[in-house]
Amino acid sequence: MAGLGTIVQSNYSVVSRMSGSQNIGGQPVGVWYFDRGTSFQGFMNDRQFPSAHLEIIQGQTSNIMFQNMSPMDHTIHLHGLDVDQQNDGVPATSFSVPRMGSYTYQFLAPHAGTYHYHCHVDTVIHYHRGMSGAIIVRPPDSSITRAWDGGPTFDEEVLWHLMTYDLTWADILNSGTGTARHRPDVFMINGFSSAQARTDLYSRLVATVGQRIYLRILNASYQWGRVRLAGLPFDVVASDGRPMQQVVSATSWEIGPGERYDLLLTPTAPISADATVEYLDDWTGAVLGTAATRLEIT
Amino acid sequence: MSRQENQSASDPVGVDPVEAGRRRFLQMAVATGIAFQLGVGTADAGQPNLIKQLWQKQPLQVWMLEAARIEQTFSDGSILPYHRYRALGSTPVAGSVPVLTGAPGEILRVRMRNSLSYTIRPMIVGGMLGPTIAPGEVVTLDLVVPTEGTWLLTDELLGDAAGPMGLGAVIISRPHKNGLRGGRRSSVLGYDREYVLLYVDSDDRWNTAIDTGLLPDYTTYEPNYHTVNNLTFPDTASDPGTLITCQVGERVLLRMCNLGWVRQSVHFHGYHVDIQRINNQPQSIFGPKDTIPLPGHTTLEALLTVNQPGVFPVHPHSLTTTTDNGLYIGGQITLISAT
Repeated sequence: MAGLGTIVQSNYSVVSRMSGSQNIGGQPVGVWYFDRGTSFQGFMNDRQFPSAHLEIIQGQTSNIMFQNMSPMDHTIHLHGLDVDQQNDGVPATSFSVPRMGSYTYQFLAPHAGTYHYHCHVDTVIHYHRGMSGAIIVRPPDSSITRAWDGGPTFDEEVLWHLMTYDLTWADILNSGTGTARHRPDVFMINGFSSAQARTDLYSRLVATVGQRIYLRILNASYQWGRVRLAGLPFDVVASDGRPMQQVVSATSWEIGPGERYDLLLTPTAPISADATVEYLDDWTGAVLGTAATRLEIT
Repeated sequence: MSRQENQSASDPVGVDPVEAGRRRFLQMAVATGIAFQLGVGTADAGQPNLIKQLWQKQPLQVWMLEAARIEQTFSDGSILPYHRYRALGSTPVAGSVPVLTGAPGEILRVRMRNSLSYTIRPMIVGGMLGPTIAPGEVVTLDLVVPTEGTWLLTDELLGDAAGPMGLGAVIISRPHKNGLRGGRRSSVLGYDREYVLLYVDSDDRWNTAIDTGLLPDYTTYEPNYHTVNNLTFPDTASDPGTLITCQVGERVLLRMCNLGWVRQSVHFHGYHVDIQRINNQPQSIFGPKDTIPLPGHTTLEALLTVNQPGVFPVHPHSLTTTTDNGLYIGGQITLISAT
C-alpha cells in the first residue's frame, strides 16, 4: 500500500526540525520538516522533505503533541479539518509555539478523507522549505481499504504530495522581497523529481489488472498541477475530505494549491507508462515543468 | 484550462465546471439582455436619454463612479499607481470597490466620470459593452441589471491591463424582496448576510508602465501585490465590507470575484463552503470544499454555513498572494469573525 495504512492512530508526537537536508534539483538543500518524534525523517520515514504524513480516525479525538525543536517559532495548521480557533495554528488569530516550546493540538475529525497540515508562521517561506504534510482520516472502523463509510473500496493506495521548488529560495530564512515571486525550477512528487520518483516505492502506481488503486493527491505547491495517469480514465470521487456531489470520469485533472482530490483508477489492461503531474503557470496556464512516476499494471 | 479531456459534450458531469460555466456565461449574457443604454455624453450636461418604457417600468437607482488614478501604499513601503473606479456620493463599497445592486431586469443608472488620461469603455464580463468615455467626460449609463448573480464591471479598452490596474466594480443582481433568508425568488438558498470579495493581482512594473502611458511587456507579468477589495491584510480585517462578520447558525453568501490574472485557489480556515454558482451558473459537481478554484475574470458564489464561533482566515493558497511584494503577512488574507 505504498507506505500507507501501517500506523493508524489518534495520538501523534510531531516534532519540527530545521536541520534537514535533501537533494533537490541535483543539489543538497537545507530543509525544514515535521517528523513523528524521534526518527529525524519526514515523508514515509524515508526522507526529510516533505514532512511525515499522519493517519487518524474519524469520530475520535485526535491529539497532535507538537514539540518545536528548532530555533524559530512554528505552528501546525490543520488544513481542511475545520478545527476551532485555538487549534487552527495561525499566529495572527491564536498563537505560535516558541522554539523549544510545545502544544497539543486537539480536535475531532468528522469526515474521512485527505487533508493537510503545515506551519502557518511566515507561511510563504516555512511552507516552501518543507513544513507541510498530509493527513488521512480513516473511517470509524479504521479501515485501510475503504475511503469512507459507504465509499469506494480499493486494493492499492498511494499518496502524492505535490511540490515545486524555487532554488533561489533555498537559503531564505524570512519572507521579504526574495519571496515576492515564486519561479520553480524543480517539480516533484513526494519530494522527488522524475528521475527518483519513477523508482520511488511510495510514488509508483503498481497493481494488477482489475485491481482498484486509490490515489490521494495533495497539492502543496504554489502552482496548479495537472495530473494524468498515462491517459487511462479514472474517477474523481472526493475533494477536500468530502465526496464529490457527482463522480467525474476523466483522463486528466487540475488541482489548485491547497486542494486535495481522491482518484480511483481501475485499469483494465496491462500497461507500463509514466503517470505525470504538469505544473502550470498561474496566469498563462503554460506547463512550467513535469514530475513523473511509473504506472505499472500487470 | 480544462480539468479533464474525455468528457462527452452532452454530459454536463464531464465538463470542467469552471470552464463550462464561463462558456455558458458568455452565451447567456447575450440571451438575457445585459445591456447598457447610453445617456448624455458631455460633462454634466442635460438629462439622460432614458428608454421611456423602462423608465416607466422600474424605479431608478443612481450610482456615481469616477475612473481615477489612485496611489496605494503597501506594508513594504512601496507606492503603486492604480486606475480604479472610485465610488462617489452614496454609492456603496466593499473596501473601496464599488458594489452596485439591483433586481434582475431593473434599470441601474450609473453616472461615470472619466478622470483618467485615456478613453475608457465600461464592460460587463460576459456581457455587453458600454459606450466610450473620453478623458474628462461624464456619461450616464442606463444598465439593465443582468440575471440573478454576481457580475464584474471592468474596462474593455484597457483590456488585459484592467485587472492589474484594478479597474473593476461588482454588480449584484438579486430580487428586491426576500433576497436574503429564504428568498423565494432566489435560486440560491436563502442566506442571512452577503459579502463581496474582489481579488486583484498586480505587477508593480506593469502598473508603473501603464500609469506613465507605456505598453507593458505582456510576457513578463509576475504579480507581486495582491489585494482583496483593494485592501491588504490587516486592513482587510478592519473594513466592515471585507471582514466577514457573522453569527453561528447563519448562512453567509460570499460573492467571490477574481478581476485578476492569477488562477486562484482560495482556502477557508475553520469551515467548508458550498459552491453555489460559477459565473452565475449552478454547479453540481463539488461537494463542500475548504479550498475553491477561482480563475481570473470569474465570479463564484459560495455559501458559508457558520457552524462554529471564532476568527478564521480566508486566503489563496499560492502563498505569495498572502504577501506584499514577498513580505508576509499581507496580501489577500481576510478574516471570518463568527460569534
